[in-house]
Amino acid sequence: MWETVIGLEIHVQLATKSKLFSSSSTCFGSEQNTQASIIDLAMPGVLPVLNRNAVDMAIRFGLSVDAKIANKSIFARKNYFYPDLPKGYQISQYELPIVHDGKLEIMLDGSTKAIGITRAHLEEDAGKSIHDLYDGKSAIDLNRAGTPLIEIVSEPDMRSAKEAVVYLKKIHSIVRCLGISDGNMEEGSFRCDANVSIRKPGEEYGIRAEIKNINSFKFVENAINYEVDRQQEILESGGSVKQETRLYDPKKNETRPMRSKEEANDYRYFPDPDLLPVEITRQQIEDIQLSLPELPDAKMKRFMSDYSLKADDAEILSSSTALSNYFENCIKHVSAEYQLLANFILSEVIGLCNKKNIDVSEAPVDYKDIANLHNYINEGKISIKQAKDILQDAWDNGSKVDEIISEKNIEQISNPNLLEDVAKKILEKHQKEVQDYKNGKDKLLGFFVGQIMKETKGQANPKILNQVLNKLLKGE
Amino acid sequence: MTYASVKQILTGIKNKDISASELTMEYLNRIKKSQSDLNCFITLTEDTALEAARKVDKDISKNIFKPLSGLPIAQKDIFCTKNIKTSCGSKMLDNFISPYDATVIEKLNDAGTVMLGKTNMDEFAMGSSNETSFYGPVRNPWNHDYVPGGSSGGSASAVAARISPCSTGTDTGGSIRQPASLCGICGLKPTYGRVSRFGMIAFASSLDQAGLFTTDALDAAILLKEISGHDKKDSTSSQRDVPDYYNYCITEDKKKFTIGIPEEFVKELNDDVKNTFYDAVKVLEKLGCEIKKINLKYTGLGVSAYQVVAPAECSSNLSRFDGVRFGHRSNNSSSLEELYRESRSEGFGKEVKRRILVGTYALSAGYYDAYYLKAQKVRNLIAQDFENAFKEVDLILGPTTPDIAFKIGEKMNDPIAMYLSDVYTVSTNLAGLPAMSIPMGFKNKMPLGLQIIGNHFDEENILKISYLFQRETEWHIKEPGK
Amino acid sequence: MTWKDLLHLEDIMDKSTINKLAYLSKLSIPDSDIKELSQNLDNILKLISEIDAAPTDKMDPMAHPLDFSQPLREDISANNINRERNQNDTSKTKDGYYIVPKILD
Repeated sequence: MWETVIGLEIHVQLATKSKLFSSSSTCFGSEQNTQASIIDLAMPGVLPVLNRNAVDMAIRFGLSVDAKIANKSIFARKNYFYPDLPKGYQISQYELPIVHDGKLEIMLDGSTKAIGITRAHLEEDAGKSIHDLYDGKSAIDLNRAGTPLIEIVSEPDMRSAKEAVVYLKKIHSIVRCLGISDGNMEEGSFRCDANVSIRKPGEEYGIRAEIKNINSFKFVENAINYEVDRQQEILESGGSVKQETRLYDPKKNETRPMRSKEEANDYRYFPDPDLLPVEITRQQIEDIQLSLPELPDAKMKRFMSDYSLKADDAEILSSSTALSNYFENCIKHVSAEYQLLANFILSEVIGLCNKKNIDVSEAPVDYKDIANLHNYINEGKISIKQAKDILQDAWDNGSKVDEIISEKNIEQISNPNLLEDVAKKILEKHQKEVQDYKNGKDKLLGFFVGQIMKETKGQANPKILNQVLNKLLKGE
Repeated sequence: MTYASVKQILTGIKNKDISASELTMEYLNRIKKSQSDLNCFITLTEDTALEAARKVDKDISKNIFKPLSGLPIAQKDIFCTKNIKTSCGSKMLDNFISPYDATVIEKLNDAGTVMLGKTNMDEFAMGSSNETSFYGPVRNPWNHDYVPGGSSGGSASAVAARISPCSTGTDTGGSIRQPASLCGICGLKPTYGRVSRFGMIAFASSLDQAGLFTTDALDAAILLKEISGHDKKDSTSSQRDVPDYYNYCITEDKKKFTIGIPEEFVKELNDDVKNTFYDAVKVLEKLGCEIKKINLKYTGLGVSAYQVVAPAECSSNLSRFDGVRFGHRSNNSSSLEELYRESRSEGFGKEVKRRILVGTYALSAGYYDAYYLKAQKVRNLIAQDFENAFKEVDLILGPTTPDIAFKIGEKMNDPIAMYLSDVYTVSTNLAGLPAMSIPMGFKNKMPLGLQIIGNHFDEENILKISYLFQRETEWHIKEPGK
Repeated sequence: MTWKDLLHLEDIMDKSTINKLAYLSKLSIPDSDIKELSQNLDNILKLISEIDAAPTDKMDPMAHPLDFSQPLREDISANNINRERNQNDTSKTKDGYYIVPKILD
């Protein structure tokens, strides 16, 4: 009955060495106000000078989402008072942003959809206020003030929390792939605000609420779902949704109005007279286009066509540079069954990474070993189960796959005659079950397989074993 | 004293006829004697001045010369000076010790000048009479009951009174030229972008420009070279080469100037000013200049457009004065909101508050198009007028101010009357053009100034024509009380 | 026509407008000042309204008197920050932080 309408505003901190308008370092974690220069502190008389690399990064982002790059773009002042904003205005972009009219295709449940990207513009980050250091006071640290950000604004094209998460994750993987940001949501270098409203299909957009303080992908989904429910309740009981900014509280899983933003603020945007229009030539854009790395989408398509991977798997493998490199390095050392390799990496390797909460780039088992495991499985030398065990062993103990196999003498038993002997022994021992099986209890096949596996210490080749059992039980 | 002009001082010091220390002492004494009468200075930097002078003398003894070695200079208190109080004429910065030097200050220091002190000015450069200063009004040395003009009143009065051979100022709507006219000295506002704005406390960023006060045009030419040039810390500063202005002035050539006099600049003049002005025009005609009547149709809108753009930009530029990191912080604040409100209300004077409110209005939602945007378009109309005029003439002439100085207190309750005294100067700021005011005569024993406006980056010809005019006249030599 | 001919125009700067502007610009205007301020501001607005009739239909706004584009700075971090000197006003800092009354979110 109700249609959810979601737009996302993502603030991405750019990985430049110096700030957007001053040469202060952007390193994370320095002592308070040791990275705040006279320019960052808005001392009387100081002036901004634009960082070339930040402009390049914004262009790179724009090109990767099929957007237009403005040949002339303007910086504007957004005026408001807050202690983490030393000048009393933020230098941002209003009319004529550097990037506009782009789009991103997302895939969900097998279908693709294009999400419009209205604009992406450059702006400076604010400092930090800490409220619990001193009694009754707030402490301001301006180290972060002036760090370059791009703000990516989507069209209100998303219709579910899940779509929003997919879009967010894709933007995340793009900025990391381009190397323009480390995309760390916990440290604040990748921040997301959600604009959420609901309406009856076909009607005008409803009043929207802006949700802030969402710092993980999971919270994005929760926050949006909570908000949709909240708005639904209001509208169904005859009330109307208030246009406001709300904070997401992850502990209580709810949104509540933000006190300090209650008064409507008139930002009085006007072009910053201390900065001149940024001019970007067609040649510059072309040069940057040529230097772009392969983006996740293109990589995904390539994985699907070159390696015949399923779309879902290709999407995950292409979503991070580290993971796609890992996968492709393995590919170099295997000869066939790429989908199976993908399966193994996605379920086993990534599974272990998730358990240990590390990125694949930190995995203690390298691609050569995975390639080996894959090849051995393929050759029938070991079973998948055995491979999983070897992997766990190598992961925990730091040893190499080949060492483990030779030390523990792991080999798959693929000789049908050998397996037949063992199978016959087991079936002899469980004649009642054999009878039950022949009478229709098909599930007992698993029981026989389990017993034989136990007997062979897990080394029976499952495929061959199945053939043997079928022969013995059904006389085929 | 023999050493009156910059040129004479530099020659005297170079020839070791006088030491920098002696000269500095002389000026410091003059300043101290005049301070209670004229109130030109907010801070007298006696110790650093003498130290700098001693260093110059040491260098000179080793025959190390810099372009301005030993030249005493007064700096408008709008330029940040490292480790020295920089107040901008306001209670808001009464306790502010700047951690860095403005580029103009750095350049003049590096060139060997000796800073005598920081001069008094209208608060945050907003004013045309130097009556809005937290440190009290400055007086006109020609008559202490009269204003020296503003906002660079202290710098102008100091040079006019001969208590400093030269000084720096800033000009946003006429704040160098108008006081120069009212005080009977030369005041030069360079082209927007000619001189770096880094370290110059911002009033209206697209209009502000640093400039000079001297007793004659050649002095201005010498100093302009030293303060001009690209500064990579100021994105709006020009990359254009800096010519040798002094050499250009003194090089004899057959150049004949065509000078335009806009109808709009003379039609409302009172008879005294008109006559003085046309006497000055006659001098130029005798020098071989061709005089043409021109029209600058939209300059009449200058004051109105200026009173939108300047307050709008200043309302934003002054937001950083919030009591949090430096400057005045109120003692009566128990919440952040109070801290902002009380610190700013206590720190800023009436005129500053008025301009902030007007500027906030002009930028606010629903009014931006009708006010700020419209005024920025009018700027283009005005700029086009000048552009067309400069196709027919080399320079444009007119009186700098509609009349002589007014009495202290006379216009304080009438802000509009105050704004209208900028009528001949604001349009040059709106168009970014260079202009200079030089003395052209007197009315009731009070000085009047002649304004010469040039095309973008044509300071050379402005200075040259002024130099030629001063070769034929003696207005610039006249001193108050003599 | 001069601005004086526009004096008959409506007064805009009433108390509530002034208070709104004062709130946005963090100024406090005591009630006793409102009348004079209101008069001054209205006169200024009337002076400004001379620009209304200017023929600017085909004009672009002038953001800068000079026609060049923004210079770019190389992305190199400079290591020259002197926190002590920047914080020479020690009445506003503690342990290197700037201290303000507690902000309630």
